[in-house]
Amino acid sequence: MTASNPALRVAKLRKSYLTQTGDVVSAITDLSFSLERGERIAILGPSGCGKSSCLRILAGLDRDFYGTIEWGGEGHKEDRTRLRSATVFQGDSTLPWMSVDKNIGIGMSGLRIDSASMRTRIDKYRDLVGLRDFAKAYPHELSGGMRQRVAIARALATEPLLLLMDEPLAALDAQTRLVMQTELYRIWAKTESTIVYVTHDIDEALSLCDRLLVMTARPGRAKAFIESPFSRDVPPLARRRDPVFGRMQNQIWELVADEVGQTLIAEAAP
Amino acid sequence: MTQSSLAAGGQLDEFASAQLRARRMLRIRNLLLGIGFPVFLLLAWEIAANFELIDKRFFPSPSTIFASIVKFLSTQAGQNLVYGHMEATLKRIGIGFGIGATSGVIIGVIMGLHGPTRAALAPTLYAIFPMPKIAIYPLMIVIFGLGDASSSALVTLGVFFMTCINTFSGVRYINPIFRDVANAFRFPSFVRWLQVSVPAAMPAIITGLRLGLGQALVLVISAEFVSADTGVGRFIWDSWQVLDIARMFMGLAIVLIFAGTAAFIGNLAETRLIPWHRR
Repeated sequence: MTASNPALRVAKLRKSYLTQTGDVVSAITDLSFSLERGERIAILGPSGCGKSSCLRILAGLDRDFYGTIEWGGEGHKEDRTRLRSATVFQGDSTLPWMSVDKNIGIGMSGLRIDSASMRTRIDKYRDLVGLRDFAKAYPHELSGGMRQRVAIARALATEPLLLLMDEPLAALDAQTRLVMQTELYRIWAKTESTIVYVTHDIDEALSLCDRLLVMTARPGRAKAFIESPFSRDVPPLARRRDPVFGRMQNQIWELVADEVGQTLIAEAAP
Repeated sequence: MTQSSLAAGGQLDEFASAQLRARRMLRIRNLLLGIGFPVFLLLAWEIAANFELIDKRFFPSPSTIFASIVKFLSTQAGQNLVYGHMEATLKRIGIGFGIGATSGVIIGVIMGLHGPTRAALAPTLYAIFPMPKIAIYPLMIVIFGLGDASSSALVTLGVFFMTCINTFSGVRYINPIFRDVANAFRFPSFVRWLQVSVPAAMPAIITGLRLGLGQALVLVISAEFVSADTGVGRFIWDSWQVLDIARMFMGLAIVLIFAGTAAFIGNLAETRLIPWHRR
């Protein structure tokens, strides 16, 4: 990782919403950060701090913002065999009328690749997320965790420069979530994508990411950047066993708790 | 999933098989109740007629009606007459439903996806929608003349409004996550329309088609009452005017059969086209 090779640079990002009554609510003010190629960053913050807004902007779902977003690697701009960014959403985002394979395949419908390599990618990423036996199954025949794997495979199959994950495990039960963390760690090891992982779960951020961006309460901006003390080859469960994990957890929690408190105070005020 | 894996294991434990049995019993009971009630009504009618509790001239017993229907249909002339009327009605429904449903679905999808079209058409559509379509029938006759064309046009209108409004709201109010997926993965427009918007709206489209088919039946029979030389509606009306009550009931039975078939086709379309959609 060299500092001269950023995959993404976000500078002075600002986002406001207009409420029904015409009031302006500022969701993000002055958020700046940059990502190295291949880096995995977690964006942590209290609810309503604008982390999902930030992700929607990066995903291209929201073009209504101020500030600059620079995509690194201009050479990739012409590469129509990869998406610039692919997103795994928080809720179930599989298309219920399509089989697992079709769900994964349709993610590539905007790419310029021939059907043979599309087939290869479908097989590769479906197997990678452990759904080999469910190629022809429909989402309503799968569990919530399996559906989220389909969504992950769909995003990975586009071999995106930037993989965006918006609390992808939040809708799952606690046990499935732990299993899926280990799964994500394993799956991530096989991609070279830069990853932005939005979460409110400190454990998850520490278990999976290289760097944590802690956001302030609304309007959100960067409060702190924290380097993970763990090297990439330490899997989530080993990280959790390390005493450093607990110390980091507390340190980060204090940062976040401060902001959560401010959010609650702000919400209590008229 | 659970059920098939249980079956595949071949080892249903006692609890599971008791549950399955209870479920089957419940289904049988509900089926029997569903069949039993109309049978009970027919029996009550039969008894009431036989004991002269109701006027037999207007309400002959079901068995007499059935006997006279059988007798009527045993002659070649009778058969030809009934089939002719059925054919006329089905033709009007077929043409009206075909044109109305096709245009309704297409315009509904365009309205759902294209803002300016929606803004232009929606107020007019919603303003005309509540008007009883049969009230426009005289106008249809003025435009299309007496005969098949005007009654088919009336059916077309009724079916069009039902399917168009249902399709439109189905496309308009699809789960926003599907739109997000299409945008985040930069789906080409044709993929977005044909593989996301239309299938997502399919439950609403099918509902529209079902309601449209019901509407078609109502309108075609009404139109035939008013002005037609053929059709099941005409058959019922004529039978009533010459006080041939048995024949009138035969006409009603045919309408019932049409409605039942329509419902059956609707159910079939639902299980075939939207297997993921649980009611």
